[in-house]
This record gives sequence, C-alpha cells and structure tokens, in this order.
Amino acid sequence: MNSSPESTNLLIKTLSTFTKIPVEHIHRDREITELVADSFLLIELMLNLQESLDIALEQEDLEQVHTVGDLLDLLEQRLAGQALAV
Amino acid sequence: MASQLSDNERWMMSFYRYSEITGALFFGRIAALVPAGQLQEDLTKHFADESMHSWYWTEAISELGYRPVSLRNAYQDAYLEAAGLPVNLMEILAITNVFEKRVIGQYSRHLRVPDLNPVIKKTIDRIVEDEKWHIQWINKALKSMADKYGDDTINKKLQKYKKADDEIYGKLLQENQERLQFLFNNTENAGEIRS
Repeated sequence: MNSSPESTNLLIKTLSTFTKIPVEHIHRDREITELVADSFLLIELMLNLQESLDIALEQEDLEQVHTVGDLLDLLEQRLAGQALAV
Repeated sequence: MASQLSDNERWMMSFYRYSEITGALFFGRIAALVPAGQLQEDLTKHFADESMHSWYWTEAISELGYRPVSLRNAYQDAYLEAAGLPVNLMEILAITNVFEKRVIGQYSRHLRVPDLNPVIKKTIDRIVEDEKWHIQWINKALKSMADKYGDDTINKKLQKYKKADDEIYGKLLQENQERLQFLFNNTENAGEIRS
C-alpha cells in the first residue's frame, strides 16, 4: 500500500522530533523499536499521532506493526476509513 | 530515629519507593502531553501524588535510620511485557485502574503484618487515601470515554489487564518468596503467597 504524503510527512516529522533522528534517516523499512527504544516514548508517539491525525488506535492494531512502513500503512488505512465515513 | 528494620522490610519499602517514582515519571510525561481540560488536571494531580509518595517512602526509610536499597526494576516494568503497550488514553487509564487496585491491595496486606512498624503504618495510611482518589477519578474518566470506545471494549481491556496483573503479581511473589514471606506470616494472609 502506498501512503499519502500527508500521513507520511507527519509520521516522519513526528518520529524525527521524538527520536532526534534526522528525517532523511527515517525510511519505511526501519524497525519502529530501533528508532524508538524507550517504551514510554513509543506510547507518547502513538498518543501524539492520534491527536495530530484525529484517529483512534488500539493496542491490537499495533500487533502487526514492526516497521515505519507498517505504521504508515495503518495510519493511511485509518485516514481512508474516516474519509469514507464522512 | 534509628529503628530495627529487617532487610526484607527495607527492600519492600525501597520497592514501593521505586514503583512510586516510576509511576510519577510516567504520569508526568502523559500529563505533559494531553490537551488542557479535566483529564490533564487529574493526570497532573495523579503525577504529583505519585511523586509525593516516593518522597514519603524516602522520608520513612530515612526516619528509621536507613537508606533505600538500589533497585532497577519496578512493578510497572513488567506490565508492558505481560499486557502489551497501551496506545491510547483509555488503555493507559484501564491499565492504571488495575494497577492502582493492586497497589491498594498490597498496601492493605502490608497493614495486616503483625507488630507493623508505626512509621510504615503512617506512610501507608497516608498514601492509601490518595490511591482511593486515583481509582475514583480513573473510573470517572473511563466512563466518560464510553461514547468513544464503547463499554464493551473498555470492560474487555480491564479484564485483559487484570489477567496480566495477576500473572505479574504471581511472578513477583514467586521470585521474591523469601523476601516477601514476612507479609504472609499471619493467619489472615497465610497461604496467599502460594495463590
């Protein structure tokens, strides 16, 4: 699945802010836990993304999310679902 | 005031202290992140309470003439492994609800230890009052989230986290059986360490 520029940009920018890793070093195939090793930071990241994108995620949604690409696809799916519901 | 305190009691007080610090740090970060409103206010108060509780234990250990034992793992650390990572505020509050009930249960169990040191009793009595409020505000906040997540989802999460907490507590008791035996050396608590 190809993610929209809106969610891609926001996620990459947010990840960069949280991890202090430059945007150009954050790619789809990078492991989330490699970027965000601190569990509390990961919780904060998820809260921040839901707030920024106005979407709701649950614990179970993240069971299959391992990489930045997986997370982008999930966010894209949620945004598309919301657009359909409007 | 120097007072006789067993190594196990000192470890337990240090464990409480470290868990309260871990809780304060977590709630401080969440309180800093949520938008202004009732939830932010309650989370900030909760953070301040946990922080004060860690001080009460530090003060109590010092009052008894000791220093806290250096610890690296708090009770909450095991939660992420057993219960998974909470990713929204409802899940954070549901986990906290279960955790706070465990805290009250643990402190109540400690209060039943025969000939309990008055400094420990005073500290637990002081903390438990705050813990009761923690459960109240969290229950209220969870109710207010029912429109967004649904009662059924919230109840399922509470059940899931309760199961995880039972596992974590059972493991803690097993791993620290000798250390925690003093909590179970009375008729009321007897047998519980095996449950």
